Amino acid sequence: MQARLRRVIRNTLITLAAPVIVYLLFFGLTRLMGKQGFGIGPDLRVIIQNTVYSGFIALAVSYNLTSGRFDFSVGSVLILSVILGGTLATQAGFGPVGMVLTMAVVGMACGLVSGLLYVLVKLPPMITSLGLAMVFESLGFMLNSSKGIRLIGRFDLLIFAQFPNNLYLLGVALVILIYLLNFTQFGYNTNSLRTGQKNAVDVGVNEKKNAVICYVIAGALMACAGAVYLSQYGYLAPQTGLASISFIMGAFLPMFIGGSLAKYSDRNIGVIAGAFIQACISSGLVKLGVSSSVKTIIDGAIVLLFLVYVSNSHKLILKKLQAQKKALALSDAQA
Amino acid sequence: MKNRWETIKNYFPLLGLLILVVFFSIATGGALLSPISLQSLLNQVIATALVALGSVFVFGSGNFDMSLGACLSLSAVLGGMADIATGSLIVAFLVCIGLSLLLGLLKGLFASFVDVPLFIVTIVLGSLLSAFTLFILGDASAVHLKDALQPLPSFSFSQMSVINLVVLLSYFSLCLVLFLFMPIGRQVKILGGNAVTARQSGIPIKKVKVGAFLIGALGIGLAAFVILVRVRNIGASTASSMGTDVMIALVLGGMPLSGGPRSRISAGLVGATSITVLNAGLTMMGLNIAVIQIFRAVVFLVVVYVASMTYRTRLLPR
Amino acid sequence: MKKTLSLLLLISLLLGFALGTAQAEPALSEDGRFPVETVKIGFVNYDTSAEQVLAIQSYFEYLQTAFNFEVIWSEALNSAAAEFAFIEQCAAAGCKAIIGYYNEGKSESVKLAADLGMYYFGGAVNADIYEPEKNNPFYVGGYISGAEQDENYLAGYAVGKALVDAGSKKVIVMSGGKDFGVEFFVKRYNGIMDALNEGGAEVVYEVPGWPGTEAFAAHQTAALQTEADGLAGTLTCMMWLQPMQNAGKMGQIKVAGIETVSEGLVGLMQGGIYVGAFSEIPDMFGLSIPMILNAVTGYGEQQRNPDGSAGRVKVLNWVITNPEDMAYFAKLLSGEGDERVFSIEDLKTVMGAYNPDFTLDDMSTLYSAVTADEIRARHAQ
Repeated sequence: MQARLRRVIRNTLITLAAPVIVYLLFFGLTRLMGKQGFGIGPDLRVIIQNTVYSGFIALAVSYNLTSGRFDFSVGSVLILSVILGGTLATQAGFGPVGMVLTMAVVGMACGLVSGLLYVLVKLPPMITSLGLAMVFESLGFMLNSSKGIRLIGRFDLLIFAQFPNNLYLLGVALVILIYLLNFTQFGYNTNSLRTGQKNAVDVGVNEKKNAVICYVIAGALMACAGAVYLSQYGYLAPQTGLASISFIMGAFLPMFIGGSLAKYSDRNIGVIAGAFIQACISSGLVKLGVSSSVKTIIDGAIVLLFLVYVSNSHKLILKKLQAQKKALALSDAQA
Repeated sequence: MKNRWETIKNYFPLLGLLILVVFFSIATGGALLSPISLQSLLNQVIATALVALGSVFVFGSGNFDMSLGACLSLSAVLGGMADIATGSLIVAFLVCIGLSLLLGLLKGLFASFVDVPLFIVTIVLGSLLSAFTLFILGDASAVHLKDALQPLPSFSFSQMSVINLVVLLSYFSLCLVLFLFMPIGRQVKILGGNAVTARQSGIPIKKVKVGAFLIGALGIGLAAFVILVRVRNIGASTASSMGTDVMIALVLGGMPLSGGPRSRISAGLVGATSITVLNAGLTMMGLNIAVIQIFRAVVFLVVVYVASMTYRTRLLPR
Repeated sequence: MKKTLSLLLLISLLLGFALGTAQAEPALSEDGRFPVETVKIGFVNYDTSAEQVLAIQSYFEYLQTAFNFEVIWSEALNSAAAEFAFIEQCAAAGCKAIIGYYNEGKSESVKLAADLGMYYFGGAVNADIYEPEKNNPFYVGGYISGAEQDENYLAGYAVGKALVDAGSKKVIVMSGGKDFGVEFFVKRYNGIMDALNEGGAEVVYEVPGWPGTEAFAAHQTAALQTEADGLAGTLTCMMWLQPMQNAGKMGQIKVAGIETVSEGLVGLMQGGIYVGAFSEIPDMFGLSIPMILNAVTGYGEQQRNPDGSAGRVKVLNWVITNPEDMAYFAKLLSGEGDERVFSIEDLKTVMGAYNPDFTLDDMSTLYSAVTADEIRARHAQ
């Protein structure tokens, strides 16, 4: 019992350590360079806001990508669910919660279509999702005579960019996801499919059903990200020509950090920790006065380095184990 | 019986292309096959085909590359800058090819020695390279060859078509020979089919991977040069859709994106032509933008479905 | 008797004919539009959902009720290569002309269109496009700023001045694509800075880029923490209203930006949140239609400069600093009611088929009379 408690505490500390270290690093660095204001007051609130927004997208992407399904359509799902869901909700006179739920329903419907198309035509998800991204983009484009959605001034509806409302929204989503991933059949199946597709299918996991559910979850999460975006800026314009793909760019770093922290806590929490780290980097670089294109280069380099580390860290562990084994063997031989 | 069906299925991608051509010829009242249109199609097919042909090796060996467009625009921008500085097309050519090969080598080494999900690495690399291109462009948004020290020859529409054809045919022949008659072709297919088998049968995996990326990079460099000479105005977003276009082209060409024994060199050519005809045909029909989008999505999914009948698996593809 | 009648009939017919030709009603197509044969035009576009493009589309639909033209709208093009491909496809599809709403290929886009036998409209404001091809007979020209300075510089200047006039002293400047080297952003930025300097206002924060990135959100939040009392945009400032509200700064910061006229802005001006807006008139791009139709129907020479170079029509845009003007302009653009900024009848006055004596100056006169009073006066006639 005590051992278990100790493990829980240790794992929690490790999960929290990464974001805290990055936060402190930039806190120190900006102060050292004579720049004030990083990570406190309003800047902390923008870090939280960015964490929530990128976190939702990264969570959405993580449900499919970790099982090898790359989804190009997430951005278009965000746009369509905000435009269609937002329009329906305002017409029906819903409040903010009703609006998010409506958007989520649209997002889940998009996810259902994605999932069904994928399992029915059996084409690589990259391809089906490209096709669907075009469909969702054009649907969003056709609504409201291509004007998207504009709720500027509807401060009663656009509450999800304010602290702490954005955290409440993320919190509710996280509770649901953590339950789904850790305490349900769906969660066990998802994890087994992640680690070994063929083995899982061979022992009777229904991969099709699982994939469809993952797409539906991803759709709902993209809709939440959309609600946060809409709350922040008040409007969203439709996009065409696969321009919506770029929404995915901010999801990679949080997702990989989430993957590497998954073994200490829960993948969902890891992703959010990753989103927080990314938001700290963004805010920190802005405070340090780094220009946009240089920032993109730095962001990319960080993701690449992190990927290299994550993908190869097991080699270091293997080496270490081997060294231990060798030492043990040697000591045995000496004895 | 089954063998005959297999043979027939091999022609599905061509059938898909044929359906597209017939459909759009009728829908545009024959305009698709007018001389102007054919020349224009040729101009557009060239760049996509050059990149797609080389990508057969990359995707065929089980690798991914989503940074194609960014590599192309960076090569073309630096080639253009070299041209402006020296006034020599040959220098521009060498810069385009050289830089592209360098980037190809980098990706090849990454794929061989660093164990990473290449798909995502190349997406990130793509955004990184685009940002870098913007960075070196500084406060200009594009390079313009008319700013060159010495006036460069400007080619007419038909001259350009000849240049295009020569470049494409040479590269196509090279790829064909490499793929069909040299060991690397077979090795790429075995590696893409099953990495374990490949290792056990003694294939030099690292060399093959680097080789595949270098062949692909040559195509990208050639495409960069051809676009530079024809368009003469190159910015960071030149060919920005190349990554997805090539992926679509390969699938339309009947090749599984996971590579392996079903890879074929024709996929690059047939697929690049299909996607170009699809895009051009939709524009020429003069439809509403929203309708174009939906239409393209549906046609795309249908043609992909037909073309991909050449391969299906029990497990859901990833 | 019979003879007299027939004579009378003949005279009345002749009279009617004479009167008819005096009004110069040209030959029309079967559905009563000018010219007889449909003129296909390609429209080079870079953002399919931009408000201005949507407004141009709706204005063109209005013009199509009288003029017999069709438009092939490009998708969102983002490079010279894509632009050239589109121009070629338009030629193959039988287009007679190209409207260069977007031009990345500079003068080579004009040359390509001309080589393919199509007229090209646009780019007259840009020397890189205009000068090399100005004597190409297929280049019909386009619009240039009716004022002394560059249009984009003026736009920025108007934005800065609106803030200075409203009493702002500490201003946030949103620089858009200036750092990416996008030319019109640089010019607008310079205009804003000059106006602020002259008015003695200081820049307290500069926010680069646009929404959608974490960096933009971080910059925006930091900017809203300053003591700013003004916000100047090199593009629309709509994405600031919600953050201002969230930061509790709504009403403390006066806003001016480059905007598309809309009903929403009327309320924001009435509420004193917006103090100024520079707006390009979407209907101004309708100038392309008379210029192209003139060229196609044989009146192309008449709209060229005296030295034979492609015509440059002087235009002015809207600097809006009060809600009344904003409301009037919004109504004009909405298409409700009969009034337009430039009505079909207005356009006929600069088309050779309707008015064989028109001149390039007539075009400039029409297109630079754009204040609320001038438009009302035109409709009163």
